[in-house]
Amino acid sequence: MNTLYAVILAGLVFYIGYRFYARRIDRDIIQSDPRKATPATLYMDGVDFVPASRGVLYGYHFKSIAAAGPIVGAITAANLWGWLPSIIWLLLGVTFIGWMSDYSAIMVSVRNDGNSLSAIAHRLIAPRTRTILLFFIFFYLLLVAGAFGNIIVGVLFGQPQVPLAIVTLVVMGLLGGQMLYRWRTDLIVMTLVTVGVTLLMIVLGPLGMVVNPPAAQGAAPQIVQGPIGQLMVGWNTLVNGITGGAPVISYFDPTLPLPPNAPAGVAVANVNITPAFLFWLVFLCAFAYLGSILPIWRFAQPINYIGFWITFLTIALAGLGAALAVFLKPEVGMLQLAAVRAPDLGFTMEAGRAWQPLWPMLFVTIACGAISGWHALIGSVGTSRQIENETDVLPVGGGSMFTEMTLGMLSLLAVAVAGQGAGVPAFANGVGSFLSVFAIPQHIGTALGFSSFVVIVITVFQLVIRVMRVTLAEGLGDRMAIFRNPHVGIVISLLLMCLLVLSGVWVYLWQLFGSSNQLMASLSLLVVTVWLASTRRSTTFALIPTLFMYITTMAATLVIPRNLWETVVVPNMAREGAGIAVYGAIAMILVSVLLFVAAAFIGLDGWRAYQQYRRQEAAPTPAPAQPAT
Amino acid sequence: MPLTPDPALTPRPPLPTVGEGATEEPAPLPRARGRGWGRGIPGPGGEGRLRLRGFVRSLKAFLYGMTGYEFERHALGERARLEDLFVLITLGDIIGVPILPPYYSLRLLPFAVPRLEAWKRRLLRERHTLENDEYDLIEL
Repeated sequence: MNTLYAVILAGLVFYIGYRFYARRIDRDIIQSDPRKATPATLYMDGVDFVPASRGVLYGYHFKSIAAAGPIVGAITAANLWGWLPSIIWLLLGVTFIGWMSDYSAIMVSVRNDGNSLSAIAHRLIAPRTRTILLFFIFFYLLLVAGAFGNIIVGVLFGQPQVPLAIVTLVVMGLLGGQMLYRWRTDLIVMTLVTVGVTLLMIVLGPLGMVVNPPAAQGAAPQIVQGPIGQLMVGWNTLVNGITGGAPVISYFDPTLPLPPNAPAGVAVANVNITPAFLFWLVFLCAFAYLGSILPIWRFAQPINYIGFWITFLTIALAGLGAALAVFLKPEVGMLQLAAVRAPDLGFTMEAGRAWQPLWPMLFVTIACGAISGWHALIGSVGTSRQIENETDVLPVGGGSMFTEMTLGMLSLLAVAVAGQGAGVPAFANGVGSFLSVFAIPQHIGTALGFSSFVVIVITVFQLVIRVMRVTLAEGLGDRMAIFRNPHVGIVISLLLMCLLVLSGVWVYLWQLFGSSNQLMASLSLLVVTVWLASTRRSTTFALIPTLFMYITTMAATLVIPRNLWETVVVPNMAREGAGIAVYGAIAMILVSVLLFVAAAFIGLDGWRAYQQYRRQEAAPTPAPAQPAT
Repeated sequence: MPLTPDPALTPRPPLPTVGEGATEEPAPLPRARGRGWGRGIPGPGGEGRLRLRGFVRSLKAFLYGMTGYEFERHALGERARLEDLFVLITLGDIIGVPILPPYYSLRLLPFAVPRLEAWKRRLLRERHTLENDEYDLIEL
């Protein structure tokens, strides 16, 4: 198998799924009608309701849904189960569920005066659905903050060539906001300056770095940092000197390898939180604090914009490299990773070990590239109010989701060609390999992969903290006035995130985030199904995915606490200094249980509403009244 | 604070839907930049050239949607928030908040009339937490 076949396969699925399935649903079941007025044209107020062309909206919606999610999910799944199951789920998921979730959420909103999905759920299902949705959103944000925070601090601490790019991003973000909104600089000039300087610093970071071949067979290559990398290494060493090099916290992480001299069968501490790690955690908190407290135009928005360009350029170049590798550098184009990593697909359960069965865990690990509840929620309040014509909903909602699948596919290929390593390093190595097709040195390409990845993730992270603050204020501000204070909201959000970063086992954290996301997806699919029943349309195309996603996600929400209990709480309970890991795991178990109970309520309400509308449909139409004679 | 009638912000009457006296070709609406996929664009050249021009136009619209459109929306939102406040101060009587003496409100009324309907709709519409600008920016 090589990357070209995978690219062709993705293109074929995109074409066939969109042309023959999505269009048929749009034409025959939803019956989109270009003559029907949309909320954007009915209620045009120049702000929230503004009709925009489908080309602009396609770009807008795609940018709103595609970033770190499909990348992280795909690389995690490839590491757990291999590339083959991951590719199959990406392709089937987007074809039968993913596009439909985005498309129908937007369409339902368009047909309901531009109301958000939660408002429609309130009306069609039950009033408490809306409250439960807010609850989901908060935990969704918290979990994504913990998962992304973990990745960012790990890379900033472990890859000394990267921090310069992030510091530059902060400066360029501030400059970008000033240029655009205060100095009224042209957008193109602002883009060239801010993105250009950030890219330059990304390249400068690894300059002078030398990668020596490994000393022994199977060992990692020896890396000698360039001047900037050495400066950062020196800084980390200086900070670690505070405790004389001793770790501040130590615990056992079941997903990481044990130290080489560890006795067999004993859960030896394999995670050491050093002062330098804590320093980068504080740096991340300061970054997020700026993004949350400053006006959105001043920092958060321009940072997001610069991050978009860095990602876009890296992914576009890497995608081109993946397609051309077979012709220009065939050794790069071959998938090195095993197609299936475990013959039993993870179904064998052993006491004391993490249980990662393909079903249901794959379906929550890869969320955004295949189906995501977040897309549906955002689409129903933003995109749906700008749709000019009902027939635009398919290319905008469905088309964007199919396009996002290609992003997940590319991430998967990057990990698969890297072969060795796991997670972010494997992704960065894969991007480096793809860029080497264009004669860019492998280590520069890898550094670009690392930096672009951190840039994507950190831009999302600061917004997540900002939104957590807003959600806390809206959810609790009426009951406790202190939550209306933005500083309080930010500090609480950051403290919760730090607890997850310091205690969280990353894979579980990501899967729990995926579960909350997929539960929101199940909810949006449920709303669509009930709406179809209430308007007497065929529900099959939405009902089957709803049931599949609901049952799968509920099952995954039970597997995660089991894994946390067996592999984190039990082995670390008696360990000195591992209290934070145990408390963190127990907190995550509680979150899982809460998500499960909340989802059970939604499922019950949804099923009742569905049955009620079906009964109405089955009831005979009353005969017209006869005129009195 | 300019209050001259702005055609782009003037609310339009609702378009008739199917079965309610729909017209064959509804009048074109003011909208954000970019136009469709470019099919059937009139101009010199053959079919291939038209298709190419349509593709380039679509690509430009797509790129604009990914880049500058969010700034345009944010700027529009910021302006609307300021203007909403201005209308509230000057014409608050409409919703029972008499801030300015009625004489001045009545003098300003003709300038504000075109946007009053949209203003009321914006103020009275139920909003969801997800409608904050920040949510639009989170890409997941």
